[in-house]
Amino acid sequence: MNNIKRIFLWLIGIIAFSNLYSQQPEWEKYWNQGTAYTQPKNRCELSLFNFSSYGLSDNLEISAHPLMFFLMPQVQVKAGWGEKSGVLLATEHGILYPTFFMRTVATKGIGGLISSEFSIPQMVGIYNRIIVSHSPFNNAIISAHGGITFSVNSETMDPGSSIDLPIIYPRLAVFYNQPAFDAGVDFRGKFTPVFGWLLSVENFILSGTAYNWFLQNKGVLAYTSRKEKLRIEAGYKLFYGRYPSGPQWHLLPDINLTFGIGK
Amino acid sequence: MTHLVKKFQFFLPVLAITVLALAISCEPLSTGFDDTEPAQYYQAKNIKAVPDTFKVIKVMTWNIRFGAGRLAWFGDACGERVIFTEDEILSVLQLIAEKINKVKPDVLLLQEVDLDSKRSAYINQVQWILEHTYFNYASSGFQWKTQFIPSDGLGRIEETNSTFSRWPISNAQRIELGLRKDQDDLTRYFYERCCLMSCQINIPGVENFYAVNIHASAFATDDTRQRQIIRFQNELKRIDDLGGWFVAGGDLNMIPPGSDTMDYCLVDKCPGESFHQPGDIPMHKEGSDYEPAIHWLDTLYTRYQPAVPLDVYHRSQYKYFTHTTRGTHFWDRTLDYLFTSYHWVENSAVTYQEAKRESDHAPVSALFILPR
Repeated sequence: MNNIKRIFLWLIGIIAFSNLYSQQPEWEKYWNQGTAYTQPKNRCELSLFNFSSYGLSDNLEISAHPLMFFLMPQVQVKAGWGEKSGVLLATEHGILYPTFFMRTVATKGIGGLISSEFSIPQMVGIYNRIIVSHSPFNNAIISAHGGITFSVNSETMDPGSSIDLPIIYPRLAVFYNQPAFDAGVDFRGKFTPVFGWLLSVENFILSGTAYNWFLQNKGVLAYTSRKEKLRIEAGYKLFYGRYPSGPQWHLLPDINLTFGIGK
Repeated sequence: MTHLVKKFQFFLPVLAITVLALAISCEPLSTGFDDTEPAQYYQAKNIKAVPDTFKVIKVMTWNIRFGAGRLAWFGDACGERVIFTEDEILSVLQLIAEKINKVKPDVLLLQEVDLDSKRSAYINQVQWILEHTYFNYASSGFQWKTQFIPSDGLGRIEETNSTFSRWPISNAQRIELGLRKDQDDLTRYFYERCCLMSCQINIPGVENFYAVNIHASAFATDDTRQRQIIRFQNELKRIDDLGGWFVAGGDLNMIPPGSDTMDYCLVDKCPGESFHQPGDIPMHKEGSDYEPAIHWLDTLYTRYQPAVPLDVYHRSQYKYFTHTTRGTHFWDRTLDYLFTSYHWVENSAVTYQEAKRESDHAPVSALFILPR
């Protein structure tokens, strides 16, 4: 109990301390993935291991994953719908084409994540998400989101062709059973103008299968340059999932490097 | 070749990320084992009463091929299939359970029993067999435990040697038999780790009675199997030295000394393969040329009582054949054995060659006289 009190007091202290030091106006607009904020027009954020995004206008941004794009093309847009009573609203709409990736790894020998006995049909996943954000303090944003994903398959997928790995399984599960739902909370802020933190919890809930719940918790510390040109994140990702083989936990490192271009 | 290199380069980042990520997850990517480790215990949901008046018990060994029956798996039967459906596996398991319930062994040594493998629809076959037969207890040692094999779509594999008994099991140990040395490091990391399972069967009135269950390497082309047999013999000697009695058996992946046919490369070759021709590399198919190993079982036959004595085997070898690599072929070699340090009932050994749909191995049983 004493430990809980101590942690709570530390959190209050950190938030109070960071209130004194983080006086960066409109910092919410940058590095805002997972929030209802959209990037300023013409600003581009290029990320190595996460989505890269570009501000088409002050309330519309487009994003795609730089590394995975050529294997599993995925494009999404985020539209900001304004603020009401201190709560910012945005919606996110995306499309995912996994066929090329799955066909590539459905091979014999090394790299065969899927058995070559399975044929992979043409498939498209479409997702829509609503995001709300609120700033309870000067230096913190809390966001919540909920979404639904559908898939359109030219043929039914054989359950034996699933890739039963963390990260991959929950995201491709919609092509086997649909729809899939996701919901999560994102809490982020700044200790100082250049150092910040991010904690998030993401749930994936699948329909039509017993292997239907996946949870992802992320915690990172972030360094952001004063002119918002560079952000470095390092932390962890903790996964829990009910896979076809049974419940499993995975703890993975989370490292990301993002470059900001434009204001 | 250039195409292969390009393909490999393409996969390298994906594989590297996968391996790195999983290597530090809560479960190792591929589980290694100490030389000797405690084995896992299982129990049926409902314990069935066992009469304590046994003077003789029936012991059976059977490699059940993870419930795949005679389906053409890519790894051992020139097949194209890697992943079988739940219906396919359950229908074969049903046949296996029916055979066990008909033969009624009291101690059962099974090899290739899957626990949580993608290839066999993630069915816990040890528990399934306990619930569909009259056995009360089981103990398992991992022959293969890999969280994810990024090759051929294999995914997760958990394969065991499992010993079933009507009576409680104790002191169950998994004993490492030694890894193949004729593989590269990466393949060996993800590959099976052959083991034997040694445990005590607690039959009322019978002291120090052990069951030893082995599955030796099938495809090693070096001296791996010889080292594994020596490790097997060492365990049997340990039980001897303790003053105990044992029944020991399993899939030794070697043919009996003096067998008429020692080279099965041409029988086992898949379409498009060539062996024994000038320039063929390799000259012999992996796991099909038994000639170099033909005397590796001599000591076992000399030191212990085989369920099928060599002279009996030599008189009509085909009657004791227990294995074939093809789904459509009849049994063409003997790989499965039972030995004891005490006594079998004479001429009690049976090779169930009619069990052709259940596995690519036939079960073998014999009656063991209890040392009361």
